[in-house]
Amino acid sequence: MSSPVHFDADSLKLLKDVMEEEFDELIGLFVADSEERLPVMKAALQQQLAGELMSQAHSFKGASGNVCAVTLSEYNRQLEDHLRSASETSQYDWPLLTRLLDEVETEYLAVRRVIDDGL
Amino acid sequence: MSVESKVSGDGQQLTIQVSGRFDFSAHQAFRDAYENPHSSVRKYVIDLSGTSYLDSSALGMLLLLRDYAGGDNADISITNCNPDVKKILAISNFEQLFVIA
Amino acid sequence: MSSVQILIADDNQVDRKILGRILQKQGHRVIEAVNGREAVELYRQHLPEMVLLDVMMPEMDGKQAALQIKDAAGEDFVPIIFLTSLTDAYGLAECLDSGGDDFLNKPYNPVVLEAKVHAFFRMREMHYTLQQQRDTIARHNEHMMREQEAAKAVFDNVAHQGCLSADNIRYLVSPLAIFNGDVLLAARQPNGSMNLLLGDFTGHGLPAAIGAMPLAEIFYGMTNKGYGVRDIVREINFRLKQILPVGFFCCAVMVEMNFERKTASLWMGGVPDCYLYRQQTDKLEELRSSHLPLGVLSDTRFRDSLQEFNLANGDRFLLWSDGILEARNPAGEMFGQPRLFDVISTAASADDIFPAIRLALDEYQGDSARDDDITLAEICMVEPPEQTTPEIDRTLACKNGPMDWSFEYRLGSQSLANFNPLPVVMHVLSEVPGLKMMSGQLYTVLSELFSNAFEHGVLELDSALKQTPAGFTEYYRQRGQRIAELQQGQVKIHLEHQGDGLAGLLRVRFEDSGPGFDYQAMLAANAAALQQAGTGQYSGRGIPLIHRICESVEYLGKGNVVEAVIHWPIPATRA
Repeated sequence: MSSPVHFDADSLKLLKDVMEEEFDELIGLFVADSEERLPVMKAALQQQLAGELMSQAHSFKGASGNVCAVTLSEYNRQLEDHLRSASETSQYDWPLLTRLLDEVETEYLAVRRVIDDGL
Repeated sequence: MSVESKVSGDGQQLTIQVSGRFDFSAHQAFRDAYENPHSSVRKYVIDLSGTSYLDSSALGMLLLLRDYAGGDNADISITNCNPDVKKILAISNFEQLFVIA
Repeated sequence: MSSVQILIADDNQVDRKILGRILQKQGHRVIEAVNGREAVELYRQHLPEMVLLDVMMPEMDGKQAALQIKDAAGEDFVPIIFLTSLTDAYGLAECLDSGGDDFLNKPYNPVVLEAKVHAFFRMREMHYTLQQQRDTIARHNEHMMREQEAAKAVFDNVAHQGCLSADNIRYLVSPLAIFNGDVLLAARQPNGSMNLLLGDFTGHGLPAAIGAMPLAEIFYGMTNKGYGVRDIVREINFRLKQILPVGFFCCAVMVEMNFERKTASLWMGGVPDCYLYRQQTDKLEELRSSHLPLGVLSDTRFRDSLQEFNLANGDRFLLWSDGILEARNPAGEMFGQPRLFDVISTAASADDIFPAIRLALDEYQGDSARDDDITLAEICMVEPPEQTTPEIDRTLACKNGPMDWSFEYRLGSQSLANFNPLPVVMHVLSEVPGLKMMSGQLYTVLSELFSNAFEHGVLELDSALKQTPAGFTEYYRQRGQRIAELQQGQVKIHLEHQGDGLAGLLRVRFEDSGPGFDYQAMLAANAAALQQAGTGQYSGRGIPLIHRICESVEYLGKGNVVEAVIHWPIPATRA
């Protein structure tokens, strides 16, 4: 159930203009970062470490937003928001959070495919 | 504070009107009011109908005008003073130097 | 805009890289920190001109880092911009509270970023300029305060010779009042009379301080020589008119108290209404300025007419400049004349008036209390001071000085009307060391004999008039009128001295052109009065003090000549 739009085209063009020859390196960094991050997020979910999961989602939201992966950023936002509102009562809906993380992962894989195809 | 001046039709009389507080802040404007008009002016009228308060630097400005207008030969009237202003002029005995109406 | 050094703190590598790249492309130098703690450290090391902080970071979050960076920056303005996304609306207020100056939304828009960097750089420069200006002003102010203190020290040296600490004077004057344009001076004449002057220069600061100097010098110099209020205000007016620019002047009230005669003379120009409090009747008399302030009129147009008063012990003058009336309460309202009148008229006793005014002022001004512009004085009629003859310093007395001489000074009608000859005469007498020591007493004798010769002799004024308050006023009215109309008449003052440096004899003779008087009858009356244990009322020419000082006082001719003989040193039995 991935969104058909993975990257915001206008912002992406702006980013390419800014980064110039460093654009590829930046994207490489984003991929490496994300590949490390996803296992950390899954582990946090399994061990029900809500704080760690929220902080990772927040960070992922920012990073994906900055590389113009708008949908991935939005899913991370949903995950972060749920964790934040639940943290007020410590009543975490783990099945829901599992689904939200699944969406993040699925979208990331889609983003990754677009990147591998040369953006 | 505002200072307005006008010269009579025959150019002989200059009326200067000071509104609000007549204090040091009026210094430049008051000076401009009597130094700028043409030299045909013989008689000065200081209309204080809009003046709420007068301090000692205003008294100093009146003395400067008197000096400019010929010292002991100056023809200067101060008109329409409210009671507070009149009191300040009276304490300083300015009626000995100016016509206070 | 020149290159700006900017610190970026974000735990996210990708974000850091993008942001750093944008800023570098815009020509700025970038320092990167991966968490809050490192951000604080790098800030201290490099003192960058701007800081961009992510909110959520490991080790130390952005808010904590912002607090520490602002703390380290002290008075310097370091703009801190928080990096957030629009959806991070939570905690925005906290970010501002911790010292954040603005937000930058992710994803970063280079145009917005450049605009913000630019704006904050300008703000920082403005802040720096303000700081510089503030420091400059502070330095100037400090400099000015030091100069004022130095100037005040100079002024104090000039003004300190006075007798403001006398028992019959109470006053309130702010420490730096001289720079508010207020002066308060008091000194004794050689005959024990007291002169007090309260002045208020227009404008503050330097013109006032400069004008106060000659004013004080004239006041003390002339008072020491025995001049009274009339001559002193005339001289001060002359000098101030000379030195002050047009438009600057000195409102002043000056009073001269003669404790022997129980009289006072007052000159008042440009000062708000003051009061004379009479103890016996518990009444306040309003004193009103009848003259222009000092320094306005030329000498020829200056008016020195005085208000004359007959007083009893305990009567007092309450004098002030307009500062007291313009003292403000916290609401900004002025103290005003009616309130002052109320305070004075409801005081429990004469001695309570002055403290009551002070208390009322303090209470009225409340926390806004600033006595800066308030100058207030009370001078009270009391018994005359005891005139003591200092021990003659034999070694000094033996030193040179004219011993055998005579001197005659003849004053015609014009001189009599306009001139006080006594200071000149005193000057001649003071050349004799032995006489200089008793100049106070000599002045008393001379001024009595001279005013008798002039007022009763030449002007033919009736001394009996002065016995009643109404007559007193009438006396001075007639005196003024007759001086104005004086066409002929003269007073001759003849002084003759013999001595050997250790002792001497001074013969003083006053001869007036008047018709004389029946001195035999007066002598008889005085003798009778003296026989009643000296309690009798002395009338007419002569007061007991003169007889205490003089070896003899004799009327000659038809009563228009009087001769006094004075031995110095005065025998201890009489002094």
